[in-house]
Amino acid sequence: MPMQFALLFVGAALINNILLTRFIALCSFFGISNSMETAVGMSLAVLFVMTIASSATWVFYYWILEPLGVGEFLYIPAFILVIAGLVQFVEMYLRKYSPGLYHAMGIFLPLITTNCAVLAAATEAVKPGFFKMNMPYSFGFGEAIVYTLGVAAGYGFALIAFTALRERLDIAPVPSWLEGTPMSFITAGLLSLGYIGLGSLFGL
Amino acid sequence: MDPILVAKAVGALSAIGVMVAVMLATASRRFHVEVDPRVESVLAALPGANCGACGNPSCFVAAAAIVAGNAPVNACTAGGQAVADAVAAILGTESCAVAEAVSMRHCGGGRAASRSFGYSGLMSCAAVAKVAGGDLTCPSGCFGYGDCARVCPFGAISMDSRGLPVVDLSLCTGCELCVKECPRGGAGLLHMGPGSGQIVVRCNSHDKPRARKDYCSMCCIACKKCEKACPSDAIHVIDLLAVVDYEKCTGCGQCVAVCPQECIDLSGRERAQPAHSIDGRGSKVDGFVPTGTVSGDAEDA
Amino acid sequence: MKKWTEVFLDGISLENPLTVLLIGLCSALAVSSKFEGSFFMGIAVIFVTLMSNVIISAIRNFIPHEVRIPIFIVVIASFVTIVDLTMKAFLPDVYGFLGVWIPLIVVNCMVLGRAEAFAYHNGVWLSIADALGMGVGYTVVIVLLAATRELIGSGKLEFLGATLIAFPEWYRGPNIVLLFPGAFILFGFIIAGTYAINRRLRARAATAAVRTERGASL
Repeated sequence: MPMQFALLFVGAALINNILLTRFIALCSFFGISNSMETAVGMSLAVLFVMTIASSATWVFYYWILEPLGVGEFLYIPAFILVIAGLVQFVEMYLRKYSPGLYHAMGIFLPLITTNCAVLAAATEAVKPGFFKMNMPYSFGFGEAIVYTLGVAAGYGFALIAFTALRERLDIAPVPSWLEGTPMSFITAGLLSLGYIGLGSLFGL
Repeated sequence: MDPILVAKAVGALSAIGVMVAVMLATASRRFHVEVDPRVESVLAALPGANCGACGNPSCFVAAAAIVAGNAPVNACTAGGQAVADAVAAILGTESCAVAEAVSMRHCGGGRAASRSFGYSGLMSCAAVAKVAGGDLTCPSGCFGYGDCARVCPFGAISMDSRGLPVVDLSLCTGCELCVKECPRGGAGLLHMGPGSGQIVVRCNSHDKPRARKDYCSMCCIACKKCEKACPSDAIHVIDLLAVVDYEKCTGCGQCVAVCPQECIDLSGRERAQPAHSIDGRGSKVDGFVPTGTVSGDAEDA
Repeated sequence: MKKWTEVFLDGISLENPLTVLLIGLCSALAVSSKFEGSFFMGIAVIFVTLMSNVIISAIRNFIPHEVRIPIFIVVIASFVTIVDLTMKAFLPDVYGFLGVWIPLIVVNCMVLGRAEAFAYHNGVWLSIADALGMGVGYTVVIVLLAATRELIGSGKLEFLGATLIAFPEWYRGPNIVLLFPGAFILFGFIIAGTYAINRRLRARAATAAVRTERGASL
């Protein structure tokens, strides 16, 4: 069982890295990766929100939507309602009980509501390959949590690596017609190339 | 159209919606936070650059500290007297004087200083300082890759055509970020002088003058002409380097006129071209302006 | 009418959502490995953006500020569900390829962002212009990217089963172009191209403004 969890975690974090091999949450990737403080803040906020959101959506799906048979077409608005409500709740809680943390990652919390990664992780924590609708396997609660933690770890890992690269790109001698965003994309492409090499970890 | 399915769908989504609404309503009541409105107005009065000169990590924390009484009204050195007065007005207390300081660069080399190797890595002073101690032959001079200009939150530093940073005295607030960022700032290359201090000695090298002339044509040669010319006894040659005592300096400029190397300068002035051309003076000097600096042209010597 | 065309054309080049505003990237890059996939994704995005902009702009005076985001999402989600089910029924192959990206149009930064930034504050007529401009700009970029990737990577361009262009047999494209890194790198070049075009457009607009000023003062 622990081996299965470890493989699930590594698979979600490195092999199927949500940012670099699946292209989810790219807007935040390029928007937040300007400086290291914002990148670290965003990664922590995503980790926090994703874990809570996935647990809540798993519970809502398997206890309310699926027994009523409306899961197939109602999951989009239902999950988003839950995620948006949770983010608001977490924001209020942090503001009251941990003002330092609130000001460190406060502006990112509303941004995460519409972060593709949170919705994608939430829907896939319910059923892997959910959108193909033909996978017989469903995640248990523990597997859902481990999978989500893996996705968040992979997101943070890729974001921080890319931010470090981008901070150095600022002072590197880049050709003038490629300066700025084009060069960032090409660098992201090279980083993604590196992650493809991870695809053969553990002979998977 | 299966009415039961529609009813189930509506019921499920409504149930989820109601649950989320109840959770949010209770949360907004239980987690209500009282915010002192004065913090907002003090925050609006502060410059908002989050420079850290006051010792607080951000302007918001500084505002909270000032309102709570943990920081004095003139905590924000970057804002200057105007901000201190504004904050005092908001809190209804008396204002205090703010000590003004500006950043000064003790190097006049740039194009007139020789480089020991050609460097083509990251265009950053901190980066080049890690490569064999930097490409500048002088061990105490300015590399000219512009880290100070990039880090200044007030846009007060710009790189001129000599490859040296020029501080705009009207914008410099004395936050000291450039001193911390410069790899040689702690060694005296960038130092904070009083706001009224105009005279700057453009040399920071502690080598013997003969060695200095080998690698820079703008160095201080410790001839003591400035010391003799000063009417206020404000400039002395200590350890073979001219040093200005800002307590006594009146800014009369006698030393500037008399220095044979044109090494003493007025702060914040951008020279159109170096005082000495590269040819003729010091055959061992072959300086250039680093390419890719913030506003420098890519010209080789 | 002038304002309408201005808003419409802005969305295509000067404020292209993908290359300039950098919103809506996730779906764009992910589906750009096949030409027909990105073509239908573009159509889907145009449809959803247009309909949601119209509705949100029409009811904008009745939406309270605090709950506007959930309301936007509900409106957008309904249209996305329509697209989802329609595509599953009529274009099953394309739907299989697009997979998770259809539902993710709901949180597509572009659709939500334009609703928040434009439709919530402007009238229906201009919102239509904005939606069409953004949608067309999005479609143009991903179709260009996908066509390049498919052509260079696999040597042929296919659309709904028919082969449009095919390179000769001996052509072996670099496989990296079909994989994710290729998308990033080619997209970087497309952005560089867009920046060059925008610079020229802005220069032309600046000279035109100077000319009208001089003309007005004469």
